[in-house]
Amino acid sequence: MMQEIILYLFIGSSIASVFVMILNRNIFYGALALLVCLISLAGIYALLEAEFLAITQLLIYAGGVVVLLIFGIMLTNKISGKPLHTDSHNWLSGVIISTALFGVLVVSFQQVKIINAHNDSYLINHINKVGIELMSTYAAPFELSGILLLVCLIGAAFTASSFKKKTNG
Amino acid sequence: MTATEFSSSPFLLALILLSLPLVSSCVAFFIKDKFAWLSPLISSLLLLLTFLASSVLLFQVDSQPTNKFTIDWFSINNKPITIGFLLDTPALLMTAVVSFVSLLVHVFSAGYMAGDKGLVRYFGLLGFFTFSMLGLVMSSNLLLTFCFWELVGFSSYRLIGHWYEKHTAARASTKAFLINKVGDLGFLIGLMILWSISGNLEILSLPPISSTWLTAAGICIFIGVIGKSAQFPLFNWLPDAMEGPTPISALIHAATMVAAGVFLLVRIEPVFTPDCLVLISVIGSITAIAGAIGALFQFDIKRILAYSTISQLGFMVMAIGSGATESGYLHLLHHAFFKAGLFLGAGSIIHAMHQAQHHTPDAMDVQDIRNLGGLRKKLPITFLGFIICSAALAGLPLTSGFLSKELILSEMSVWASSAISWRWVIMGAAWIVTFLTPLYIFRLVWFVFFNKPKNEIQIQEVPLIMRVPVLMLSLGAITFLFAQDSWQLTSIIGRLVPSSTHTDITITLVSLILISTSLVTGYFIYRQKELTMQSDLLSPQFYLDWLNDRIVRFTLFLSSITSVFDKKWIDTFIHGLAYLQVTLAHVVSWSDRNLLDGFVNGTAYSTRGIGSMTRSLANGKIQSYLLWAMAGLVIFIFWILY
Amino acid sequence: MAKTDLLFYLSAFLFCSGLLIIFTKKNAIMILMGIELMFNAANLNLVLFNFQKTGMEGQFLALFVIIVAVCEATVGIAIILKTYHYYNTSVPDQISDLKEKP
Repeated sequence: MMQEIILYLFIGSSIASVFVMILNRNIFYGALALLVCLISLAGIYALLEAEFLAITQLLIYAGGVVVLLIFGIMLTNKISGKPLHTDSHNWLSGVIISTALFGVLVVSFQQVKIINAHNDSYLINHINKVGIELMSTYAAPFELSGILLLVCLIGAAFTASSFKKKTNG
Repeated sequence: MTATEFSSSPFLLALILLSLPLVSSCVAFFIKDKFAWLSPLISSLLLLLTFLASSVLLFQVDSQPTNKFTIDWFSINNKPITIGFLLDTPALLMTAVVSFVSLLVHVFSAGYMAGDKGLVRYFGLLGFFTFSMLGLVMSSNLLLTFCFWELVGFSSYRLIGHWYEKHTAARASTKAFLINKVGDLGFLIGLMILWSISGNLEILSLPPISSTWLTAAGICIFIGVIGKSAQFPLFNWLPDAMEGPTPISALIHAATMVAAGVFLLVRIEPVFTPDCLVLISVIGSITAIAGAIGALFQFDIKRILAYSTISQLGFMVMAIGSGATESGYLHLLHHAFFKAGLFLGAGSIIHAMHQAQHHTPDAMDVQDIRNLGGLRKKLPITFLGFIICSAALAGLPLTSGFLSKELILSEMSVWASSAISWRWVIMGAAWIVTFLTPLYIFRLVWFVFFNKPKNEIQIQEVPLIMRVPVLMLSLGAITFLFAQDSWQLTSIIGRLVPSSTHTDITITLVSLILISTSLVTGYFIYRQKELTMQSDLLSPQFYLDWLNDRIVRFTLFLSSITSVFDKKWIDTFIHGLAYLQVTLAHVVSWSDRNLLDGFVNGTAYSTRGIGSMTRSLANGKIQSYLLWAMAGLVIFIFWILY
Repeated sequence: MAKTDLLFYLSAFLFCSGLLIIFTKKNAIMILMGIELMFNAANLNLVLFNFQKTGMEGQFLALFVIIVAVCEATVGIAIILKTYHYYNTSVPDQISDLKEKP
């Protein structure tokens, strides 16, 4: 019962933060609302027995990506006291298409017969299992994602760097 | 016909004969300008071979069992159109005359055109011209004749405009071509009518059926003849065509271009119905008189000869229209000789004067007979040739012109003598032409050769290569060639001219009286003018000016009358018509603006609207692209699921 | 278990909201946020399906999705910074060098 209340709370907060993102014109508030939404999702992950994923979500998304976005906002908007307004357009068509897609998805989900094969296993230590799997079954993707991150790091640093190309270096 | 029969038959020779001028033409186009002197040599040699071949064919024509060789060309509605040779006596005579005159023109041109920068082009086209005319003469089918007919027109167009840098020459060639096209259209329509009523275009096997449509076909074909042979409404291209080189004029006037029309008349004479023949004789008589009067008032030596050609062609057409077909044809052959001789003689005079003028500073128009005179002593050989050909043209006895003219006149007198009718008018026209012809040729000869020289310039006789053709042509104009009852060619001519025809002695006497009267009149007119010219009482061109003035004043009076009539009646009518049209035009324009334009503009606006609507999708904004791509995806999902 | 069904609808809602943000907002960083939101919607779906069966494949897939999303966000921010230096704007519509000039 307690779980369900917490779940509804998370769901409500995420929906509310998404509405804030859509309707608010201040981009900085938008980033903060995204942070709220991501934290709520991390809670939902934890309730869905994905504790490692929830922690990762908190660390990487809430701690990394959102901070990165806020840095981007800071660097690309001239801060001069006035709020960081962002304009918007395409409201009508965007709402129509999004609503249509939402309708399609809802109808599809209603037609899907979900066989719930879940057995209550609240007592299993999932994190331990994740570590073992990560080092055995998913070792190759794990290493590959490490390489991907390195490439991404170097590429982003090179792209964003503003050094002048020396002629005949 | 098998191959061996073909090779032993005259048709192989005819094919070779036809192809020789074409070879000459093709060879000329491959000669570099550096070796231009080769071109007259090669062309003349090939033409000599052509002439020999045509002579052989002409003398063999009796011994041949068949004179027609055809192969199927194509067929319309299972009726075959053939292509081939028809080698009967008239065709072979014409072939011989054409190749002979063309040979002499080639030789003459070698002297006349020496040093011209378009020499190679000139000889190439000359060969092509000869080829076209020979093909026309020997063709067995009217459609093939029409093809060659067009080729003749085309090559004469190119040759008249040989000096195309001269504005007048370019205009004259275009005029000749276009006026000929009018006639050619008539010819083509006539062929269509003939095909639709008989399904047969073979010469000599045309059906002698009589109907209204056949009359129409005959008249249409005669329109082609009018264009090609410079008959009454369409003859004004021929004097202008004098802008071309003089040997070309000789060829056009004597053997090839204008002769084609009369030759065609002779070939398809059975087609013409009596109604059609009336038209032919009327047109011919009008042309004959108009040409003779025109020749009487010209000063340019070549233009006089051109009008003389028109007159003589009209005379032949009149003869054919009056039923004297064979005599008309004979006159065509005779005319080819003496007219070519006259033109080549004129070319010699012009050439000699040009050469002489190089040494004198003052420039004058060497073709104007008022600037010439006394050339009898200076150009004796040319004078001899010219005077013989003139005598033939005038119809003096012992010349070929006399013979054929007497034949025509006697046949026409038989034709006209039945009762008083319109035929007497035609006959009278023939007498008038008989009177006028010696007059104008006497005027020309008197002014050029006998009158006192107007200026003291040194004139030398033209080179041998130009003297010989004139003399040979004048030999042809003397009577013993082509005579009726002597020499070897009589057998051929004898078949051509029916034996029943004989010259009426009274006709001969009357015409002789007319000719001598004419000569005496001319002598007194022009001699007196010579005297008065020195007495300063009358202007040198007294009579002609006076007559010209009268004619002009009369014309002006007529034109003022017509202009008053024009202003009072026709203009009122035309103005009324114009107001009506303007009112109508306003109505039409209003409806155009408001109804039609509205519809058109509406279409344009809606198209533009649709265009800008679809164009707005591709506005360069990445989010819009994404949006519409997503819209497409959603619609796709809907379509798949439901 | 009705609550998991509700979570399906939540993921659909998140996805469509991300899409709407991408469509409507003009700022490039806001668009990037919309993309992150859509990633999270997909991740939520993965976790939900993993919850309803034995095994952990869904979780791992979600994990790698997070890693890739991080890479994407990093590179995206770097590109946005670079274009901002170059064009002095972070609005994609104003960057139109390749567009046909009117």
